[in-house]
Amino acid sequence: MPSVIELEHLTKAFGDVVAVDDIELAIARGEIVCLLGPSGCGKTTTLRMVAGFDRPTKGEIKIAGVVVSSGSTLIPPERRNLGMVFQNYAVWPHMTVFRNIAYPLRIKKVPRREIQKKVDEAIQLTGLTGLAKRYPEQLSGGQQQRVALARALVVQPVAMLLDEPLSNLDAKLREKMRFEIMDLHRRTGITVLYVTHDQAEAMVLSDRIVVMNEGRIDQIGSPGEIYRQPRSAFVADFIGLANFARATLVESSGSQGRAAVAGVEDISFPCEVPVGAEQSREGLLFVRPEDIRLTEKAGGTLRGIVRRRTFLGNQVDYRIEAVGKEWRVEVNPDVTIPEGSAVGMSVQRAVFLPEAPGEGAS
Amino acid sequence: MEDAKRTGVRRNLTQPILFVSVIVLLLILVGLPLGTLFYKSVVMQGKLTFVNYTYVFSEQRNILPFWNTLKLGALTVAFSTGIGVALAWLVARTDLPGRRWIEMASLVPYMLPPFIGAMAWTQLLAPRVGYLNKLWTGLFHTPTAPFNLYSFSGIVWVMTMYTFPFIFITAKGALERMNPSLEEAARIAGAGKIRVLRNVTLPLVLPSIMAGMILAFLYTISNFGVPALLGMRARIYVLTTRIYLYMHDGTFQGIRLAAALSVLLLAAALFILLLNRWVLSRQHGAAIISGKSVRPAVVELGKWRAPIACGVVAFLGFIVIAPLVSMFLTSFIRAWGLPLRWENLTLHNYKYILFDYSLTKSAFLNSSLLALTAATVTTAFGALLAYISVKTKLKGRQAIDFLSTLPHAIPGTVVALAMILAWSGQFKLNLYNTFWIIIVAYVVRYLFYSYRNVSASLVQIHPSLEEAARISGASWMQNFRDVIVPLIRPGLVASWLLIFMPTLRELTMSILLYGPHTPTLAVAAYEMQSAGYYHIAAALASLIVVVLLVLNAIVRRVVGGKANA
Repeated sequence: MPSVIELEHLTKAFGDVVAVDDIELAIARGEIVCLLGPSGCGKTTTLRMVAGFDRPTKGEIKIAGVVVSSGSTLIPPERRNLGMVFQNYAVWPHMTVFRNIAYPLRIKKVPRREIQKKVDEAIQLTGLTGLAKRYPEQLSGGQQQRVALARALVVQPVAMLLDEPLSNLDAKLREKMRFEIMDLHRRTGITVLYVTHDQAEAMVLSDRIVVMNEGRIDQIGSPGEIYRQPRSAFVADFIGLANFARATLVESSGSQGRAAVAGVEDISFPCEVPVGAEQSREGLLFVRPEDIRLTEKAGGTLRGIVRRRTFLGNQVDYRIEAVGKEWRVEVNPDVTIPEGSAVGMSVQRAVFLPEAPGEGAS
Repeated sequence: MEDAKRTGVRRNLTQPILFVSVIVLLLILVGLPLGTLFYKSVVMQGKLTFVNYTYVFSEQRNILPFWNTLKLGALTVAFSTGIGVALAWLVARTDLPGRRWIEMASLVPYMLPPFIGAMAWTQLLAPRVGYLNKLWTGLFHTPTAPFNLYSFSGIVWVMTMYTFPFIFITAKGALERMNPSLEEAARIAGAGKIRVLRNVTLPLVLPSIMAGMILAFLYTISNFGVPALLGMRARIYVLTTRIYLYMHDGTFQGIRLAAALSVLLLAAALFILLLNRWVLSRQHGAAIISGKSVRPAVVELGKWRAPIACGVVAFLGFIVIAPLVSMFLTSFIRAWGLPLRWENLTLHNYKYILFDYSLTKSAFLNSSLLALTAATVTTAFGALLAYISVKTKLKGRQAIDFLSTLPHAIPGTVVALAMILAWSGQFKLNLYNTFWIIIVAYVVRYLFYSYRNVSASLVQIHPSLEEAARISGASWMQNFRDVIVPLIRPGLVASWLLIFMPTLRELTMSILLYGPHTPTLAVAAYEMQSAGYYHIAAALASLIVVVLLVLNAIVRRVVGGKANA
């Protein structure tokens, strides 16, 4: 499948600060890709370079096979044939809904009748029927967001860029809009590059997630891969809840191995070993809270004491002290073990991670 | 896309070319004339010399106006501060009845030029013929009139009446924004009303009052009309009037001395500006005062409420209403000095200035054209400068900010003189005695109004609104036309009106720049007043007052009182 957006050795420095550090990415036609990472990881800068608002320091950007940014070229945003949705919607307050959506068509000098038709379609597609004559100030945040989406889609751009489009909405609406964007993507088949710091959003929406950290790409993969098989402690920690323990890889063959947790060297746990991790001996054992089973009394492989128990509705969150650290364990609410009692933990699934520089294990 | 690449490059050039030309224009309009002025004051026949300055300081007739200027500024500011702060406190923080009316009356002088105030007060306090003097001599049968407006104290009096609104506005703003809990905390701590006022309220608003005082000082020392109309006939001179006389000589020596005096006036103004910076940098209270508007604590005046209300109404009636009403009355009188009786009233003065007298007829036309042109050109120019300064990352933005703001602090007399020196053939371009030299001076002097108003609007436009236009396919020019201009329209309208109004009645620069074919309204009024045609001058001034008050009402409608005047 041909790539719609290609980033090659893309680098952006602001003075001495390298915001984006030599990243490579190719997005296929019809794909929806999320750039995910904490603030300051370079995801928005990357998106703005794709849009043409920032000039890359080094590297190249191709859109539909044409070089749009390189050392010698910088095609301005208006010539890139992209759609974009901004964090604060950027719906023009002096134009009605209709005029906002029609603007890209008017710039392209589309005949009046066709404008009417295309805007009507976009209005219908985004569920704004009946609001065409309203001004943005008369719309709710969610409706303004739809106007921004319609405006970005109306010219059938090569790709649509979304810069944290849902972060200004309240939690309920955010969840609803996630599915709407997915739906929109399914119906239009448009290629999407999406920036977010919200891992749940990225999980729901993406074909592939690009986890960024300090200007670099840490991992690219499907939501399942990112969650189940993180390749660094950063990725594991950033997505979902994670338990880390210092560990030594005692044996490995292929993607499987056994690791011993520091402090209880006599026991070793079966674990997955990502490609490349078998090189290192010392590392971290990573366990998701839902991958630990609790047994009362002294069952299981690790022994600990329940320090706190929090009821969350669909599950119960336990904080358990074992081998000199705190473990988070999530189990279904049927299991009730009182605070202060001894408990056994059996690890169902674990991944051995080589120690990445600056890992934030806790 | 190949095509796109080429046009992309071309499109990218329109913006830099526009920006560079705007900046070059700014340098030519502001930098060049001021440089020339300074150059002319220190270079004679190609040699550096300070002889002009030594001459200025060795002659009593030059050094005295300098001291008079400072004295006038200091006294006016002192009196204005007393009146302005008291009124501001009463309006902002007490339960005085009719506060809205008091505020409106206090702002009327702010809308009018002081030279019209001088003309109006002449009706009341001119020796012998002023209505008040006549009333006094009639009542007490004294041989001489008690008040003489043609004196230094007369100048201070009229200037104060037209300067206190500056302090009123800044002090009222600070008093209204102050967090009431600061004062409530003092009350809880045991301080009485007066003590709170002295220990908490005043210290917190002091920086704002100081800023108002500095503005008022600049305004006073830059004024030409009042000391010219009231002081010159009594041979009392300040810098602006002394410079005017030197320019009137028309000799090279006169021009050089005028240049040297202008540099002194400029130095005084800039010194005050630096003082302002210093005051602002020491504003510790600013952080506490500014912020969202809160309902300020209201002081109940109790049994003093009625007496204070009466006092304020009488005071404002006397200083704001009475002079203007006297001038209106005089404008209907057949000849000045005649008693106010039915048979002496006529509309002839208005007919004369509107239809018969060629000077005033051409003045109406000139001033309208000048104000329209200056307001339009200055708004457009200032908007571009504001855009560059606020919305781009161009190097040298601070220089734009400095050059656009500076002329506002430079006394009009100095600006006019700099224009004459630069544009009378010095650089192969002679605009002297033309319409254009007045336009250029107006643009430079009032550039700040549009620059600041448009900047304030631009700051509120989130960059993503522009980016959304670009990604929608709009070029920079299309984005400017379709997104920026509509969004800053209130700022543009406000700036246009705020430039149109003062240029319509501008005196200080016009009096130095007008030529045989380019008299302006204010020049016509000034010349008729100086020549003693008080009743005709009063008619013209009354018309100007009415037009200005109507325009001000429109401004309030349009911008909801939020414009930065």
